[in-house]
Amino acid sequence: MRTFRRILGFVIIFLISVGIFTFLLTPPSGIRVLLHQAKEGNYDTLIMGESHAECGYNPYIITEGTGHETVSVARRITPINNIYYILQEANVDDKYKTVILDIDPYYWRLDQTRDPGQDMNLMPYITGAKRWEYFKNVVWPDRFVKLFCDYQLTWENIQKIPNCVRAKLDKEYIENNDNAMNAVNMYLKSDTAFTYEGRGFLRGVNRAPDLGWEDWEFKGDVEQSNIDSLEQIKAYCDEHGIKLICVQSALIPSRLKTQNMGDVHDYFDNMLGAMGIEFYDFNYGKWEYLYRTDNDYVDMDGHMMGDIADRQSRLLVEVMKSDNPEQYFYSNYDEVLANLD
Amino acid sequence: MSITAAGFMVFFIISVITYYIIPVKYRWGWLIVLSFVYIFSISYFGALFVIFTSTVTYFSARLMEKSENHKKAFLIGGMVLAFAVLIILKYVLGMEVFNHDIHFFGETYPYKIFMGNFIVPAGLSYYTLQVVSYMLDVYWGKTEAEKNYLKILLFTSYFPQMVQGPISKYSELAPELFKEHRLEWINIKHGAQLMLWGLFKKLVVADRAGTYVAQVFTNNPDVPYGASVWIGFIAYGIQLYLDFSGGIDIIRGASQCFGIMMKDNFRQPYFSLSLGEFWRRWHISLGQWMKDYIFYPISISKWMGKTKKGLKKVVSRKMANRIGMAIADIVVFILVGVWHGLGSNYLAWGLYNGIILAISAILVDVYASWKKGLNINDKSTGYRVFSLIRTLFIITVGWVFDCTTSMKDAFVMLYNSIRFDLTSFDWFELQHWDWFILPIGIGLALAVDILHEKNISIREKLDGKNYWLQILVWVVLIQAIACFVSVSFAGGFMYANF
Repeated sequence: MRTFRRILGFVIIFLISVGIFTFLLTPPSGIRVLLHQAKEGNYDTLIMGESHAECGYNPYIITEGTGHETVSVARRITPINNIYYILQEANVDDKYKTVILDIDPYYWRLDQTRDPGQDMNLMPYITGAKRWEYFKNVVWPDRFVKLFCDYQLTWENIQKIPNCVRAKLDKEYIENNDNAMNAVNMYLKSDTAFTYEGRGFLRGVNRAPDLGWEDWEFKGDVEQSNIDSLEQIKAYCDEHGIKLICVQSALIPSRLKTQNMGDVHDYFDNMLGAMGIEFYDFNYGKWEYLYRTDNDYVDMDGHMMGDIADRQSRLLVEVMKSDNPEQYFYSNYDEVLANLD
Repeated sequence: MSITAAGFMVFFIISVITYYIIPVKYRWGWLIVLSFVYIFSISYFGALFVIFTSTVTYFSARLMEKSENHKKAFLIGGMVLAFAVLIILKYVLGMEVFNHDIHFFGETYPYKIFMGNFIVPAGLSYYTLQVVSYMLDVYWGKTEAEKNYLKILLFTSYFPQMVQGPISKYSELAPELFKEHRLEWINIKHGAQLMLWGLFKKLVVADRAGTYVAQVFTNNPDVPYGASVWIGFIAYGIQLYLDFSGGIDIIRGASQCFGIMMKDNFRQPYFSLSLGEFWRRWHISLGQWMKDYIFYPISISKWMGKTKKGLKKVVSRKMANRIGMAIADIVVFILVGVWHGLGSNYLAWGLYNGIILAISAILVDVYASWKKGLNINDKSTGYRVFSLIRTLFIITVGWVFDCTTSMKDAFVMLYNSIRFDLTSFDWFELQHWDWFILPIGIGLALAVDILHEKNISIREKLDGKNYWLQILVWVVLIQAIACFVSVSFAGGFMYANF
């Protein structure tokens, strides 16, 4: 009996420590807020992806242009296989007719490990049988600490503790309403470069002070697990009568000169074509429809300022409505580069 | 299912609970079931090879015991079949020429993924050496052939040791496996503590050091030169030790939770004063296996006797014996190298270690006369420090064969390592938080090794402390793993590849 009491004492103290660390170090969850919006709102078009999608497609403009109520659940550094589960959860009422999935090739080359403290753990936000599936496929093979913690102790996170506490105690965040993303962004301190406009859209308003970016070379080295996840997304969309459109947000022009984005285009065009998925690469967007300079971007990574995001969204609307979408795009990378100058 | 994965922890906790719920006499039988669940979770058809090897081992040993005339034939037959599985699955089917996709039940798999997920059983290299040691022990009359097939099956498949050993002898492991284990909380407590310490070493320190090894050798856009190569070697030495010994701690801790004690595989190897001592402290079970089943048989073999006899005509009796030992050392290390893989870098690794040990053995008298001439005291602190640094240097240079994929690459890298004028750290990115965590983690591991070197058991010391202090230590250790787990590198265990 004494041993059991001792073990119980340990378990209680351990759980208290987990609770304290979780409250102080786990970031307020943007995905929780976005999923809530996507499930509760009267939408039928969903924008998905990572940070490029979050600030690159304006749901209000797409709604206005297409007549379909659009919302974004795109979120920074979302692993591809999380997108599959986010889609299922958002579409729990089977109301979505179109999914616009942005492909940021940088992420497709990685076997993302859902690092703790990055708002990547969907366990608390997924409901029903999918939760078990997520546990089995994502949490089960991952490192054991993910079972009980979603935090990292870094100097940066220690500095963020006051913001984290403030955000989590924010009334909007607790009630999970439309403005809760402001609390999340307060934690991230991203409000200097972006403002939240609702429906998941982050509007870039200021250029980031550090515009440094290290180019990477695409060698067709896409992780098989990410392709598997895309196949799952496609199968889910087919099963639920959802039209899946893949897009690639236009990158900063100077990077088009230094990085082999033509190879990226060819790879995804072939792969998505083979899967029967429409693909529009806005890097190939003709200048007359999507004129842009490096100054249109928040940073070298390719996060858009609000104006270029609005223009890209308008072009997307035109493309979606057009019987001949190819007219809006250059046919090869040489043409893209030739028109850069 | 990696032993650091959430899945393994859930499986392990359920295994321990069910193990102690069922009646004592069925517990080892239940371990067979658990072991095959684990093996199946890693490789669907791998279990069939484990059963095959167990069956071959069982019948080989039984027939050896029954038949005096064909004893050797049954031994050779058993060993050939056991090694055949290893050679075919690991070496032949692991060759680079096999890289085509496999179509299986309507799915297409890259070759290596198919082999890993469907065919090759976990721990193949380890359990093969285990069963061979059992067959040889039966042949030499050191162990009786086991009459119960299920006991051999558990000896082969016992799941905690399937990942990376240790390689146990039947005479050592069987008494532990088959005795009646009653629930003793101290075993659970000490086992869990050992597992947590192993997880800390692996997830917090080794994986973190691994990011810098990768920066130097794998992800580096430039060829590394000079100091950057040495940083890579040192980081690799830290990563490998903490990865491997961390894994072994997890395995031994898990086993202790079932009441089954497994022998340690490391004894503070970086405190060794010579290369020979290092290899007696590093991967002890493999070293012991090689000593018992390769080194001694070679040393007492007829051809070695003839060789020594011939040598005695030209050198002294003592020197002839030493040359014999040196030859056996070289053979052992070449075999250890080949056990790690068929790459020419592993062969070079074996030669590097074998030749250094051979030279040490042959020149032992010369060294002694030098020391005498220079008035050096072996026992003095200064000489011990010198020996420690010399050994660490030899070991560190030897990692070049692990960090490259061929003998040629290894020699090119060694050449590059002395071109200090070309040293560049342009590509080097040390996360500022790692400046803090890595030294503390390495320092902790070092402190624990120092205490172990002084035969101080931290777990026993902790047992005598106040309950709340013990709780605090537990919680801090778990939270340290949770808070500082390496985020950018989550590799599997390095020795699981062998």
